[in-house]
Amino acid sequence: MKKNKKSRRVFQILMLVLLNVLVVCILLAIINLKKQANQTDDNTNVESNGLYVAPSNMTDYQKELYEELSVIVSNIKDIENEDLSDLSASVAKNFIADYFSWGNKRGSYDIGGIDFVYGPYHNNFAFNARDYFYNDLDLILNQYGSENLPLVDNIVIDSVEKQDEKYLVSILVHDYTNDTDYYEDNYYDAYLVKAHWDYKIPTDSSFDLSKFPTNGNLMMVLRDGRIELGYFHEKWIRELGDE
Amino acid sequence: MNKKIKIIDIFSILFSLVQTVLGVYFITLVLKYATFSKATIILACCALGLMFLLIDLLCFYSIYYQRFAAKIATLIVSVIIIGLSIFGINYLQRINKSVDNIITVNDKQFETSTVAFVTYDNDKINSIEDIKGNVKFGYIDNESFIAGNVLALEVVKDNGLNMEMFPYDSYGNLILALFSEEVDIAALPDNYYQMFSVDDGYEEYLVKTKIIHTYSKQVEVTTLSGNNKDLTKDPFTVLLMGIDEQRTDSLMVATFNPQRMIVTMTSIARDSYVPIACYSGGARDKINHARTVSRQCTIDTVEDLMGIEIDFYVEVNFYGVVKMVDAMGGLDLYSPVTFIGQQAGYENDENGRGYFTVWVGEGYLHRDGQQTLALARERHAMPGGDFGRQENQQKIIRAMAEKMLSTRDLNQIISVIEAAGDNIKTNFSLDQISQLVNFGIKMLNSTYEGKNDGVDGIFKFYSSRVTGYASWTYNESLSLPLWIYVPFKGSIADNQALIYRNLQINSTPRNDYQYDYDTLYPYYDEFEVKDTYNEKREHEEIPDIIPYFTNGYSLEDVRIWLKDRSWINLTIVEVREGDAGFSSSYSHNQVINQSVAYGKKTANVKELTIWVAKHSVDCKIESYRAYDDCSDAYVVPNFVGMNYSELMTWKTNHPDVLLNITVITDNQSSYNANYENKVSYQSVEAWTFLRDLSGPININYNKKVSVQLGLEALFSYTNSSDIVYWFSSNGFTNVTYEDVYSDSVPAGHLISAGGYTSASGSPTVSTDNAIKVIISKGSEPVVDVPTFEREDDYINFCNQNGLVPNVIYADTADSSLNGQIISQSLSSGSYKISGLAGLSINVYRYVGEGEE
Repeated sequence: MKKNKKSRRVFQILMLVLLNVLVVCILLAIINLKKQANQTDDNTNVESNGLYVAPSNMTDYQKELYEELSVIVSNIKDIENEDLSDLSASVAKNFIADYFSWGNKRGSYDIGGIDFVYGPYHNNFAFNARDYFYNDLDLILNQYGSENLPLVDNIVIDSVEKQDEKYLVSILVHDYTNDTDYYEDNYYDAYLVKAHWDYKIPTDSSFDLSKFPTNGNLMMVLRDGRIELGYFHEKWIRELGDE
Repeated sequence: MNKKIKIIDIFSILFSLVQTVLGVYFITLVLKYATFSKATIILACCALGLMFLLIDLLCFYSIYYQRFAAKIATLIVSVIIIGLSIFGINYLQRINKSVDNIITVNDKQFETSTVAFVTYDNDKINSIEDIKGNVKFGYIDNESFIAGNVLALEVVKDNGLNMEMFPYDSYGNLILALFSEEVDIAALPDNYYQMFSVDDGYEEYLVKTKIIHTYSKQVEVTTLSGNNKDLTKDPFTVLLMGIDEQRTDSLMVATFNPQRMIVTMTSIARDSYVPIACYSGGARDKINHARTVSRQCTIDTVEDLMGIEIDFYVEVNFYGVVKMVDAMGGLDLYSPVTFIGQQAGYENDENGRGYFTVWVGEGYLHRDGQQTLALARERHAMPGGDFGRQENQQKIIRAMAEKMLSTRDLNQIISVIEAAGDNIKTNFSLDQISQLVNFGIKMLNSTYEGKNDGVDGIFKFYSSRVTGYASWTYNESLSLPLWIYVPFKGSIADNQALIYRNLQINSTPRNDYQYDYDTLYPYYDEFEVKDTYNEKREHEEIPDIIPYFTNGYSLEDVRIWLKDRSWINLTIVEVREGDAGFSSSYSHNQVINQSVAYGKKTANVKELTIWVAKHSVDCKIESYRAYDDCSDAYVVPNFVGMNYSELMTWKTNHPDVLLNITVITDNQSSYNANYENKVSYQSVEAWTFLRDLSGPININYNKKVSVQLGLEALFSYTNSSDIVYWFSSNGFTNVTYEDVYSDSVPAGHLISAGGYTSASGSPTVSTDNAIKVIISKGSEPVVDVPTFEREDDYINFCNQNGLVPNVIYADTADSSLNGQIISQSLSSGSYKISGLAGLSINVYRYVGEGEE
């Protein structure tokens, strides 16, 4: 009788253990499935400060800049009526830091700074970058390794000028019903930001930095409550209002 | 009570065992797809295994400790698990069957190959039992050709057929040999009709063919094995083949670079005339014929053409596209035009193609499977023709990939896999497919572009095609030029450069970091494929051939065409309203039939008959007079004002027309002085059709009484027409003319008239006299006779110089001598035309063995 009771106990404990292990397995499977659905390479969650999504795989410097941006964003009360010079400068810095940093990129498709660009043209901007600035990044990554590629550092804002005239963007729209294309003109408040910056690169890296830009003119526009990049060039070569 | 418990014990144990066995089997089936989500699936399988173990333990516990409730619980749970396992196993086995059909990664595959013994325009041989005596049998002299070589020779051997064997190197040459009756029976793939019916000019020959015997066999086919590359890191190539009746109707080379997320898609036109890898000597043929040999032949041919290694292939038959797209729930696709497309053939349809009943509307619309396939096939209605079709095919592939990557409906995924099962073949392994799918989903979910813009945001597609130029090759045996498409070398090089860059072959960074961006001048993809290249187009010399007169030629066009081909005698058959074969839709004088077929060399044609549609015309109305029907041959002219010579000329040219000429001399009262030596009256109105005449035409000719005229002036005339006019305008009614060569009298000058040979002695003749006028043609021309190399050269020479060819054949059994000229009766040199009457050539003619 005692033996029976003992062996019954053993059975019960064994079944309980198996049941617990079973539950754990099921839970782990569910967690893994959910994780796959939101998978990112660096296993970080997508971060946003309410207006701008944090770039993926940020460097320490980029984290600083993003933190600054988040503070500025949180302090804005009325975006349509406030002076947005600081916000423009901060967005410009975040864009520069992400776009021109190659050491944290996975391939030619991994275009930096997209969220800071004029919204309707994200795709257009990305494809432009893939055909030009980022075109050979896959070869360069294979040749040098990401650890030997430049990262933007020490961005200095030289000036921020609020523009007297609105900035024009004409968007090409396709009308699928009539199968025609037409241009839609949009005018925005704009701030011209001029900046210069440096790069960090390992001293023993053989990558030639001489052709990388170190200064630029960025026209930042206010669209739907966000400051976004509408123009970027080494020089400001276009007068507002020209087509 | 004990007995009852024992029965429950037995059932408990039994069901517990069954659920364990089925459960384990289910787990092994699921683990096959573990790579799709390794951790999750393995954990889930562990959980299932633990569950089965738990139930087994509970069963054992309940029996050992005689716990009735536990036994019942175990029984119920086991029954449920058995039911679910059977359901799951059934599902997975369906998927496995389809997946095993699709994936050929183990290299061994079996295909059913069928050879057809085909005759052409032959009523004597209707089955292989009729094969007796001297029968010529054509087959392929290459073991790679399963139907035309392996199976064909098996049939010959197994049936003890005693035939003369004629080997050929390709199905194209073999079928042409059949049409030209070089062979009586040809061993062709059983779908030869569909294979060759798209070639211009073959249809009229194909309808006269007949299959007298078929033989099918399952044969092992070996195709390119897959590649062990890490597809998420290394670029790779895929050959996409769209198959219709064993013909590669669509051919595309795709490359994918996971570091660039760029997909290049390069279409190769199915008519591209290129060296085929498995033909002996790498002979050229249309690239879509390579598949009739084997899939590997197509792959090797594309590798040679583009200078790349193909890592993987995906072969889809057109009917599969319909089923897959329907399983996906359709696709949103754009068509630039509305058209009616062809229904995809059903499995039992012997022709594999259906009627034109598929409506495809213009615009960006939702399309079902039949519409999608019609869009993939259509070229005639598409702007850009075949290139428009290639562009549509690339867009359809993109749309299908996008749909599959974005769907989360398991039922839909399973339906698509089942639809693909019988209609797709690939050498991707299951692991590689899951690797790619996972990679695609990860990219969509983990990148900014993927999350915001989907597939279009993360993948960049470069679409291109290998362009070329239309050319011809002349087939002697069929007497037919065949259309071919020759790729530009430049196009191959440009597409190769695009592919090499994406595969990172021989690629170095440009070190050109352009970074400007302006929303006012947004980016436009400047990637362009050139349609033409400035390179020499090598066209085979096509001989002068009879055109398609029935393709829009008028009678006048034919006459113009014949001006340079004076050796061809034209006969015109008029087909009028009410005649058989006439249609009011024909234009007046439109050629509606021809006696000599298109493609025949004109050098071999002496007689040509054309049938011409004739509407009713009224020549009395001036606007009709431009028609040939109103020419002198068919209508009464305006005789009034004609002189006697003109009248006689017309009478000579119209011997069937009766002219009653009344001559009124100047001493008669009815003489009309306004028409001196001319016609003054005709009884039938001018422009009346000669065929409408019911009697003679009465003519009044006013003749001035005979006068004597001096001939001195004539000897100073330098133009024969001036001489003729002088006689006719001066009332001479009986003059005969002769043109002769003369080395002393210049051309156009008078040699003699009425027996007078010079102006000296004041020669005179009467207008009543019969006068013979001899006019000089000048010196006899000299012709250079060449050394003839070919019989055609001699025939052309004769035709150009108005000579009757005289070819003497010497029969020979040596085929290498066929057509070789043995001798010519006159050696090369300069001869007067009159001295060439006896020009002849001796030529060898190959007659074969046993032929007369």
